[in-house]
Amino acid sequence: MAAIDGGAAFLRTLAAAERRLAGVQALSARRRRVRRPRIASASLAVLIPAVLALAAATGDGPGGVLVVAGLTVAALSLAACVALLLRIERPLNRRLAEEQHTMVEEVNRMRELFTHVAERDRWEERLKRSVRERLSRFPVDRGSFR
Amino acid sequence: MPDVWENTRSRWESVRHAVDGGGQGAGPGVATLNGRLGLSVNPIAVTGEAGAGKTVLYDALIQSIRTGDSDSSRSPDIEKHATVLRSGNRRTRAAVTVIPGQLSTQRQQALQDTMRGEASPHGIVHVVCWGHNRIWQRASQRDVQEALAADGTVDREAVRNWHRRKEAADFRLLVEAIIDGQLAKRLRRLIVAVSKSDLYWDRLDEARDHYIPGRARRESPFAALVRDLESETSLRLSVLPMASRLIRHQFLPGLPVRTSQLDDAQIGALRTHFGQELQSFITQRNGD
Repeated sequence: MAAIDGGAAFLRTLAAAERRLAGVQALSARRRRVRRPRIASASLAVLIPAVLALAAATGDGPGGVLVVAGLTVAALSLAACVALLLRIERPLNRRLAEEQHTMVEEVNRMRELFTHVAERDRWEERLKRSVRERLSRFPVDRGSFR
Repeated sequence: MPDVWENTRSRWESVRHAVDGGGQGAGPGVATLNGRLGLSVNPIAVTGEAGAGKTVLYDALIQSIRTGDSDSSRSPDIEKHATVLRSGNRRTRAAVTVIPGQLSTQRQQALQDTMRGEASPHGIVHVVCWGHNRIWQRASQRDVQEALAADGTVDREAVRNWHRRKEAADFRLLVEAIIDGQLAKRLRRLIVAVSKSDLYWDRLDEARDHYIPGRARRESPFAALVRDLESETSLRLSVLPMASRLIRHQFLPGLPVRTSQLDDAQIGALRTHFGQELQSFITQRNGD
């Protein structure tokens, strides 16, 4: 972790944190995109057998071909759901958590040092305001990216 | 208007005497806040720097914490509570929002929801702690240590000064926004809660002169801001010592630990006086 020992280092760290924030937001959006098909496939894997069972229980039930086709789709959906979860979503979650942790830690350091650095380097009011606004774009914790 | 500050001091001193005189326990006439759902009236915002003890103060007022409870932690989000303030048979509803101290999206959101535009609290409890803020993260503690070492000595006084400078900078933002009419347009009352006072009870006069204008030879930046607020607005201001619970405090790893100089009954007395101050504001508004 680089030292923030002056105004220049502070602004460099802030710029790096902003890049990390953009990365975190992109990862978060990607995770949302992956979640949709994963949830859809999980729903299919549950719904198809349920509908087939219900139809069998209430009447003559669907034909054998339809049952086989239905169960095949359900099995494929389940496989897709598991694959999406294990191969994409979980690694994405891990990476997101790591990135968020690093970002929040860096930003907390800057929040602590801001007043000291601004006073020591005699920052103009405009610069202080701009840095305050930039720091305000970060979450306190990881809550904003759920 | 010198009377204002004399009155503020005299209120401060009356609390101190009550505490030093043995402590007034929580009795039937004591004001407390209790969590209740219902119509939101009497909006109150709790503001202050990170680690000043805003959440713990709120918890103390609703009596949800007791001595010996586990340590506090950083609040990750905005805290909104619908509460009922009780004093004897009287009950008054209040909507209390604890604004995050860190510059953050959550803080911006909380300010937007409670203080900007038409939204405005009627009262603000601004929590300060005379430089006894908590720094949660190791990395930040190391940064503070290094910055202080580069400037000279790393001792308790240096860390206190560090936080007091931050505290004044944070308060300046609030004061300027109130004076300029950017925040809290319907605000009528501001209470400065000088929290964690049990840690520096032996130096309470210094803390008082740091926060209340008028007596110190060199007025602190914080006191100057309080003075500005009084002269530029018609707000009713109070500055009171407070301690939410018995705590121990370490300014930085390696520095000696400070422990509470008060006992449980004395902290109860502080809570009582603070709760009464808060209630006097709320009931005054309702014309009780």
